[in-house]
Amino acid sequence: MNREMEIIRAVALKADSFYEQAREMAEGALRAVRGSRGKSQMKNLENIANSTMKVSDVFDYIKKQVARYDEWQSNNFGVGLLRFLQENLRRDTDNLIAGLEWTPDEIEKQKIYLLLIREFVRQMVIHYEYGQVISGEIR
Amino acid sequence: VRLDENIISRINFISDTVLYPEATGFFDHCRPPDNSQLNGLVVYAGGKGNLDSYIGHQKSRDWTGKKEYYKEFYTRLDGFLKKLKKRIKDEFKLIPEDLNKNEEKLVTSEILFLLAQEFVQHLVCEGMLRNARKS
Repeated sequence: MNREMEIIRAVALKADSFYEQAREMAEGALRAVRGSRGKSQMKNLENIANSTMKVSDVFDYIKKQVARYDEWQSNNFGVGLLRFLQENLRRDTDNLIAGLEWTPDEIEKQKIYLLLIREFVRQMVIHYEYGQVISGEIR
Repeated sequence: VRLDENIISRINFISDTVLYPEATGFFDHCRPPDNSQLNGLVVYAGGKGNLDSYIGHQKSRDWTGKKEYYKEFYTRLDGFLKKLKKRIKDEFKLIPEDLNKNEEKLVTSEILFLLAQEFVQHLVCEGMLRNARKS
């Protein structure tokens, strides 16, 4: 298996363990960021995570949302999400790298971190959208 | 000037691992100005050649009263960006070795523009976050 494929496989395996954490974070989001505006903001976050090559673009987007919208400050949702991505997923990245049979270079390490962030945000947004539909907030 | 993919990839990496933490820590030493000042920085960082003169102008203004601390912010930012130019070659090692003087100057200028834009983006977002949490 080449390095690229091994990274994708390792990230996919790690992402399987995100389910509960992503659901809990989505519940926080559902309480804080509501309605169709909330949905579009969460989709924007997902789009940025998927299109950027830098983890800092995701962090900057969250900071701007917290600064612009009171609801992102509600229940400490925005800052909580930021901390989770910066601390928990950074730790997950280090653990994933330690489990590889080879040592990735610094650019590859950063890419693994970004891939984990994308996976977590994707799962969180799915839980969020599902929660909005189930609660009748959005059809 | 067209930078190769390897340099762009290095710039992204430096933005994430060096400039982002430095921008986050920048306000541990001085207060962020209000959001209109921060928005102004983003606009000027997006236009080549304007950021230097804008910061120089803001730094030299006679800030008084409640805005007196803006001077310290712009002075520190000016100092940071001036050092950034030296770091491109010595610390970040972003300049290819096979360039002549003129090519090196052009490439350095393009890289400085991109790095400054990255730093300002991180700085502005951090500043706005701190302003929001304070209010």
